[in-house]
Amino acid sequence: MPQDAGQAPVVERLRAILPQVPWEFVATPNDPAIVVRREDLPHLMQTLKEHPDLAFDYLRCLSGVDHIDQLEVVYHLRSFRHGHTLAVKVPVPLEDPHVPTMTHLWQAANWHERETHEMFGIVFDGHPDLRPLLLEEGLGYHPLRKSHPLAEIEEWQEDFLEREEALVAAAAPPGARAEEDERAKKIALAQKKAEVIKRAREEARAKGLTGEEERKYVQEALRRLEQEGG
Amino acid sequence: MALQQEHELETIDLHINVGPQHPATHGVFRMILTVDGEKVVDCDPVIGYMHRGAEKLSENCDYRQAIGYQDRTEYLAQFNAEWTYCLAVEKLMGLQVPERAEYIRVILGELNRVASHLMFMGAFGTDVGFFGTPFMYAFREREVIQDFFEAVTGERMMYNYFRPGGVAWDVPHDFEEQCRYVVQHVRRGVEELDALMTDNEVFLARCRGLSPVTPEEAINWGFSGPMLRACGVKHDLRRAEPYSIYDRFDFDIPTGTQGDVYDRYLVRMEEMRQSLRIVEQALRQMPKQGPVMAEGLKRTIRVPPGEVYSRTESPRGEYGVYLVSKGGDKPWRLKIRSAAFCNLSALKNLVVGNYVADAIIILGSIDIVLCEVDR
Amino acid sequence: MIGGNPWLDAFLRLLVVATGIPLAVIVLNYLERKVIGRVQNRLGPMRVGPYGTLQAIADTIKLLTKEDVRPATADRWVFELAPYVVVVPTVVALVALPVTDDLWVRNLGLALFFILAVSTLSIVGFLMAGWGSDNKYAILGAMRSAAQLISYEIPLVMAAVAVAMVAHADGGRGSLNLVEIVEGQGRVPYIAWQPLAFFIFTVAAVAELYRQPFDIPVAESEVVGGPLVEYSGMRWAMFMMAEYVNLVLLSVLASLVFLGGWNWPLGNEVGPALQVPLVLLKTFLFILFFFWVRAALPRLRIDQLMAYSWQVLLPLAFYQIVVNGLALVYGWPDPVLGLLSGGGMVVAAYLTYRAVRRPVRRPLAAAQRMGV
Repeated sequence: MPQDAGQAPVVERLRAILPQVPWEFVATPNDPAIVVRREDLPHLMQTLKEHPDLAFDYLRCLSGVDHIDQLEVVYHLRSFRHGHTLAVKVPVPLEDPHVPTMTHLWQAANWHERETHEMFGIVFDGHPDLRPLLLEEGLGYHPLRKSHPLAEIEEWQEDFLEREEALVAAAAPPGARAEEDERAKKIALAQKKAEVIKRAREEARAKGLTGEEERKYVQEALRRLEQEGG
Repeated sequence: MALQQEHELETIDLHINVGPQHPATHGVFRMILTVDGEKVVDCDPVIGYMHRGAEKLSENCDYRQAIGYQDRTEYLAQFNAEWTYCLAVEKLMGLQVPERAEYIRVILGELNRVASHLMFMGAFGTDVGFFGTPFMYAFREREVIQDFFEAVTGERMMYNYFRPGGVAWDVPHDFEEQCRYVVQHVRRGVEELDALMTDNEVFLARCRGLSPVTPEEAINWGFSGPMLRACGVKHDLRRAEPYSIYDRFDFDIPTGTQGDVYDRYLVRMEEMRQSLRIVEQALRQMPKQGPVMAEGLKRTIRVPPGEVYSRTESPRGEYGVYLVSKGGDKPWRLKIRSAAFCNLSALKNLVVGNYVADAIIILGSIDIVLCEVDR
Repeated sequence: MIGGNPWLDAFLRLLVVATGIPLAVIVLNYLERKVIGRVQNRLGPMRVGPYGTLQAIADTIKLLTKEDVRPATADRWVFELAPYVVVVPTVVALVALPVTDDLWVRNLGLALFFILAVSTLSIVGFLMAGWGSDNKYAILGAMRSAAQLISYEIPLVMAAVAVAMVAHADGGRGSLNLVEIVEGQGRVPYIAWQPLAFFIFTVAAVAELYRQPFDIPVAESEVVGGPLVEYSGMRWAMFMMAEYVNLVLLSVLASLVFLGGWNWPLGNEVGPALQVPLVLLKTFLFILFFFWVRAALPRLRIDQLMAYSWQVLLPLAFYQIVVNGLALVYGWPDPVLGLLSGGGMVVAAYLTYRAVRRPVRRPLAAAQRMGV
């Protein structure tokens, strides 16, 4: 049943059970919502789950929201025993985006927290396995933040890469030569090796060497190449 | 004494990659199974192959454009996805949906549920090893339903028909006739599928007792929909938190006892019949004439600031939309809580301890839609 | 003896078999797709040729012209020889298979034994295919296929032996000569006296042929082809050919041994013009049954499959042999044999029913999870 402002029975119960936890009530259609501080969160969630009058055993949804000056984590809970619902909102500062994990209370939180972490950069302390879920590893940015643009994505990416390179160049000691492209170097080396192998094979065949000897010849050529290159 | 010596045979666990390209994974999904002989020791699902950023894209669309993303997220139960989203917007704006539109929504939503469950029957039958017979039977019925949807919305799959405030346009004049034909045809098809699969000895031998789940576990893991009801929890959002006009209809909520694969199958089979019941009642009660869209909506919808979490009972479970609006014509945050995502997150618990062949069946019984899992 | 010359005789008979095989494969392929299509409420091939009759030929051309792909790390000789090791034994087994009392390649005294023994060699071929493919799925499939084939070969042979024991032949009872076995069924086919052996033979034949419900080694939705996963083009076609030839082999065998072959009900005096269609009709009944079962049943898991073979089929096969032995020793008339055998069938049905319908206990994994 839709809950209305302030009169929701679950909020009254909460007030009775946890009077020392400060929260702010926010009226939303469908569910009563409370805003709590990060420090009070573990104790609050534990009580919400385990107290028999509250008994919120079902975590429906865990979302992150980016309100440009701060982040926010929103938990939507439901109780199967009593049938009431609750939304818990936790503001998280941008400079220190850490929130305690809830996976020990509701296993459903596991994947939700992983996704919120990779999308917003909120770190859930105590999560058993905070790998990226939907995105690849090592992406470098958090897509759902408002600071990450949606349109003009290519220009943004070029800016991003330029800024990264500038940072790396600035961090390097003065007078060091420019960073070589590692990948291009590796490709060039592989190509050189292929050349050497091909030439060595042809020479071996011209000399009429058999399989085993041909292989030894090619190894020799490669070893000579490494000595020159190194 | 020599008999008491235990010779430990050193074995290495095999890592099997049920890879992104595989006929049985219902889409682009990867499972890394660690297998000891035939028993699964560990399971690491890898998702994200279908992630297209629907939530971020929706932040850049106005409220009517975002409906298309809902379709493509939940591509087997599109009407339910659109419905949830429209409910969210309507709640924030305080819109009143006209009666006729509500009935149209119910009829289309329930037929969509039947179509989605038919797809499940086909795909699940193929997973269990039928050579394609349930697949063909199920899709014959799905074709009838899709033809009907095409007549109403113009599309076979991505309907984009529900709007905040009602539905986009009125239904064709022979809607009732066509609908009755569809219900009759599909009912017969459902009975045929039932006769083919449900009492089949080999099917029973494969599915009964496979990965049972207790109600407490199911609730803790975040299950919803047929997965939860199969465990014995009689929870259906259409009854527990009624939305739209569901309190006017008379239908049963099928539940299982053990939460195993066979119970999930039975629950879905029975749900199809109940959905057809609802459609018939809705057809009888539907007003013959009336507006299908709320009054006074402008060309661009501006939603007053606020937030809402709206949820509906989609074929897979609880499909929720958490909408944060800061005024303006675009959503500030649109989070999609998809049922398949939450059901799939418990895959490791379901699969470990069973055989490899059963891992595929368990995955099939969760009835995932990859686009919904990855958004 | 055709033409008086034993060499010409052998050559002509082998020629008939050799031309019959591709024809049979093509016809059966088409037939299977049509029959399964009809069961699935669709038409099957319809476009290539009138009513799709040329579909199999089109498929053969496609398979012949495909690139011969071999995994680079595959064990070359094992990989390439495997299809042949699978096909050749089934074709060789056809040598001892009579179609009427005159139409055979060789009328071996040990025909039944020869056929079953030689066709078992295909197992080695599947193992070679799995190993040579250097692919985890292939190895899994090959292990499963070896386990399944060996497990079901035994009841198959036992059932055939049981019938061979009580076959009426010149010089008393017991014969492995297929012509004699068929001759002995003049009045009543052996299915009436040995229904249990018939049941075991049929079930084991479905398992031997890798068809639903026993197709776990080539399960498409799991190990995606099993040992055959890395094969393409003509090599894969050889596996399919082996499957169809095996299908024909086992169906003809079943119709000869259990349904009376060319002898029942028309008797031995009618010429081959009626006998051959009769045998073909009975064979066709079996083949249709196999197709039907394939379209309608899902597949069993490997451990359920093995359990069924070792715990249900094998003891019942032994029971049948013991009963047959007692009937031979004490001279019981055939109807008594039929009754005892029928009793065995009832037991088999009951066991299957019990296994499927019994109340299911929670397996260990769930109990551990619950902390119980």
